[in-house]
Amino acid sequence: MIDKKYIELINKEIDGVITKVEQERLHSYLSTNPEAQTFYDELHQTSELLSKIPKLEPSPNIKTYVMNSIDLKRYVKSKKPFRFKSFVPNLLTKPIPKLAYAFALGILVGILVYSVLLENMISKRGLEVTDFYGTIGVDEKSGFKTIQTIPIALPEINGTITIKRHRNIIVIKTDLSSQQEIEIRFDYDESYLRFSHFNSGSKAKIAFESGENYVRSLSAGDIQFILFFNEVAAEGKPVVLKISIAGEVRFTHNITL
Amino acid sequence: MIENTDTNLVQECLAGNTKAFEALIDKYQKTIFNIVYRMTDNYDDAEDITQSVFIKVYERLGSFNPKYKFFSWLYRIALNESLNLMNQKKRLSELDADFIIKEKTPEEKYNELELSERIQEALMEIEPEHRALIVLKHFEGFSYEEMAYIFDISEQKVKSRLYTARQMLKDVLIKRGIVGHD
Repeated sequence: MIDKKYIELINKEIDGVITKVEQERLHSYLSTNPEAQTFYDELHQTSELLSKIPKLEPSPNIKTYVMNSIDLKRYVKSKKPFRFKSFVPNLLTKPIPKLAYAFALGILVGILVYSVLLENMISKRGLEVTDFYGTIGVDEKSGFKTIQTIPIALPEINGTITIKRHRNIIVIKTDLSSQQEIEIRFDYDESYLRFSHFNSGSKAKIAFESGENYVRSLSAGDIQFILFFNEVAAEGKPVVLKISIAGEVRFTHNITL
Repeated sequence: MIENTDTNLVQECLAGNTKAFEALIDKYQKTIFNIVYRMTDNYDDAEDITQSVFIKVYERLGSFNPKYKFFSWLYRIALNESLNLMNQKKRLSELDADFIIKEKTPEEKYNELELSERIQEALMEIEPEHRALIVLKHFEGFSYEEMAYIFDISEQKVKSRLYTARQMLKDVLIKRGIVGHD
């Protein structure tokens, strides 16, 4: 009769998982139990015989047969049909859309913060002409209101000069036509207005000059330009418009803002 | 390291790279063939099952759980396929038992066989479930833990069944005069 725990130790030895202490205990037991020793020898012999069995070579056609039998396109990615049910949860849970959402949210928050800050800045300093850089016309939708239109109808010159305002910005839009070279001059009170910008919309060449208390242009043909001023005081003298031909003043007008 | 390679190959297969699957066949076909052969004792059956195992593996690759070792999963499929075939053959042989003609006596037959064939015959005398444990342990060197996963039983049961299987094989080998004292 062999004790079960020693049968386990014999098997553990064959499997190479026996400890040194267990091995000593086993061999001590075997030396006193011939039946157990026989069992031990036979089991070891069985194990050794199994280890001697060589591996067989399979037919070289196995791979070819398998590759010819499988659907090679099974895992080739194809465009999946759009499914709204899975699309929405995927948008919220998949890593890349999540990053895109975080990015878009960041941009949105940035725009909101910037717009609040910008609004504060504008209301503190007022609009600058450079806020409208590149503008050739001044649209009513932008907040500018026409405060005065000056029609000019002379034998040599005709057209209009329009004055617009938005907050502290004054815009003088000149749209005249003349066969002869004319000088258009605006004299203004520098304590009241500060000249900011000249923007030409005319194909005709316009010579422009800004000096102390005045701006003036010299040109012929279709004359289109815009002058931008900033109102820097609550009150001031009117702007004086003078149109001259060959040094002779042909038209004058006081513009009260 | 080996497992990383297998996992990478599986990932590549799932990405549509069939060359990666060919690499897996190259790597495991011999082992699978030998396991199946030891289970079935039939070269043609072993070849058919090996092919069928790889086809099934390819079809089920999408369901492979990478937390397990690829080869354990592969061997599990191989053993199941072998056991299925054994069961089918067993049913057929029961039906045909009366028609089997034995041409040679066991003694005559054993004298003609090489040792490895005699051991294989002895292996075929024990139940397929026990044989599978012997094959994985002695021919492929699997650990108790790996076998527990492959057979989906506890390690304790693996040990208990393996010890029994080994003892059964020993008894068959003794009976056949292959094992015993001089």
